[in-house]
Amino acid sequence: MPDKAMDDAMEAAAGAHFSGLRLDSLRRSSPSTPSSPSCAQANHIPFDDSSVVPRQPFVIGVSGGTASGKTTVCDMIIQQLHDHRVVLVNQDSFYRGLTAEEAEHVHDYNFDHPDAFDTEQLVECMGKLKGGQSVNVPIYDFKSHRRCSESFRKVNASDVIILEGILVFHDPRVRNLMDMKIFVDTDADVRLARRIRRDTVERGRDVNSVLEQYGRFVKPAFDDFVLPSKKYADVIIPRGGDNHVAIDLIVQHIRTKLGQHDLCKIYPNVYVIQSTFQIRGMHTLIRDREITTPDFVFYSDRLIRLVVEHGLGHLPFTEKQVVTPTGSIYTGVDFCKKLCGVSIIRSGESMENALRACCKGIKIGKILIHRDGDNCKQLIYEKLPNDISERHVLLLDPVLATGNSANQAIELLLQKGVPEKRIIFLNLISAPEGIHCVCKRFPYVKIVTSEIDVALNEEFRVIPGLGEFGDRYFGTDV
Amino acid sequence: MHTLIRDREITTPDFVFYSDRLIRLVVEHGLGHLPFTEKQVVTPTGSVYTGVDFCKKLCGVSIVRSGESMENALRACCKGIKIGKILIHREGDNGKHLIYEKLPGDISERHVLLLDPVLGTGNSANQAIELLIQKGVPENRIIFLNLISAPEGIHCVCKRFPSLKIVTSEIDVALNEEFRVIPGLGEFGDRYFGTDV
Repeated sequence: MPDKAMDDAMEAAAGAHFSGLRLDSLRRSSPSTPSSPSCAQANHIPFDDSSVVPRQPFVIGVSGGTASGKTTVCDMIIQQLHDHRVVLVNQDSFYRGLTAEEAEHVHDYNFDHPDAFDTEQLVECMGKLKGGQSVNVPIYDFKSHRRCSESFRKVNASDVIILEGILVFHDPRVRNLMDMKIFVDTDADVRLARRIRRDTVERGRDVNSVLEQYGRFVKPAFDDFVLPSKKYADVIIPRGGDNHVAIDLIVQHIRTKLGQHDLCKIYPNVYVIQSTFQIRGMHTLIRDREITTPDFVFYSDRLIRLVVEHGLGHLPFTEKQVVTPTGSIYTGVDFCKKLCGVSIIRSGESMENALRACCKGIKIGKILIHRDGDNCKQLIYEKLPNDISERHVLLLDPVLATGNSANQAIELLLQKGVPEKRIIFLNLISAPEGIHCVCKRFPYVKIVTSEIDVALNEEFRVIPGLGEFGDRYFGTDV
Repeated sequence: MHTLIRDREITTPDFVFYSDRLIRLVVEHGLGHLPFTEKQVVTPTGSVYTGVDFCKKLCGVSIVRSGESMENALRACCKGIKIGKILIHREGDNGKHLIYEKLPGDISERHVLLLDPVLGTGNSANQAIELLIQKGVPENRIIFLNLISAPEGIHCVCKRFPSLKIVTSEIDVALNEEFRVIPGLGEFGDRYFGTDV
């Protein structure tokens, strides 16, 4: 397979960063370098997602001086994010090919200068990746100092894209694509010592040539270009790869961000429950059109239960102290007592069981909204608790599509005197259009959902969605 | 919910109700740690949804008696799951003794969810895990689910079995000199099964 050869070339090309000379015999030695596991992992993208419209990936830039430990930091991030799809893009891949004349005087060529990189192409590639497209990243041949003309490394769209290199913060266009900028800050003496060891022991160069190159190009470029770009960093990691605390914090942050849909960043009141494989597995089952009705009911009940539990977590509480049977005092919280559910007939009724299972004897009101044509919805029935205006309301509807029924229902609740911020709208699947529609009109309503889907189709159904929830849950398919 | 189940004044039905809810959350969370495979399905709208497929080989093992309270929640999430049992008898304060076990025959090929609501000293848990490993279950395939953990118990289990996963809903302050969790919730089994004295 040609891919295999590409992977090998890629592994060689994406080895630990060192600018300047690469001597012949050393090129393909990288399986022993620390970066090889990450490359293998990064290249091992398990499936082709041409059929999926991905959400916008999270782009991380990792910069720092030569031998500062950038690759180690990237490896650690990739390892800890093992359950997400992560790709590593190395700035080294974007070196310009040297002209014949430059190649002759390769010792005089400054590989640490921003001009040594093809920034235009880097911008283009990163832009595409950020847009969820796959790209062909050039493979730079450090032996001939040229691009391999016919082979590319194909990089698929992923959840996380890490761009690593000494000068990735130099160009503002590249910088602006990044969601997080990390600067690995390691003491200059330590870096030089590492560089000498790496270039002499691993790459067989003599100390003098390493020092000469360092003094002539590497250090000035660091002072002129790399160090000034540190001010753009969001996070500065001292001591590089040894700093486990910093890397843990960063990974935590990335996880939180990945757990959030882009819409959560726009609307602070939209909450997507944290996705696990189990939750995605249940979604896979209920979305499958081949599933039997009992299975559909079973797995949607489980998902609904999780959404309900999560929604209840947004209710206010008061502090309360209790004495445990061991005689100690436990400082806990007391639930908010005034609560009721409101389900939108028919699908919303499927969520009542889960709500009852969590809140014994909860009052549940109902709203029936009839669809006239495609867009006009009309309220034709409502039965709500009388004191609803004093209660927190959990509005139940498993699928949020256009948001028209939800808006009607919320409108009614507001008329009945329920303050907007006391309404929590629980659902399983939301379309972005519906979220926009509800959140724009009612910015204080909280929405708790388990997944946000791609879009609505022209018939106002959610894509990929799960079809008509009510029909499938109550077994009234035709 | 922790406030309720820890309250010594709570009635047994309420205790059962709220511990069931908490257990359910712990079980769902624990199931989220299982491995998966990619799977694509076609939705009724004709679109393709890329999701995941569950790990099929799974079983529960409950530590008699408190662990049995967690079986319902596990059954509610995994229909027809096989559940093995282990009974560990406490002799004095620290010597624990295994006196009964009944596990699925093919347990070594399964992912094991070990159920015990309170992790106190960690001695029973260690005994149980030891037994599972003897039966050929790899350490990294065991997920220990519980509601309340004492730091001592976590140290004890995690030091001995570093690749085992523990999922808990709260970590308490400490153990007291009688090896009970502080603030804790007392004897879980007694309270759940209504055998208070």
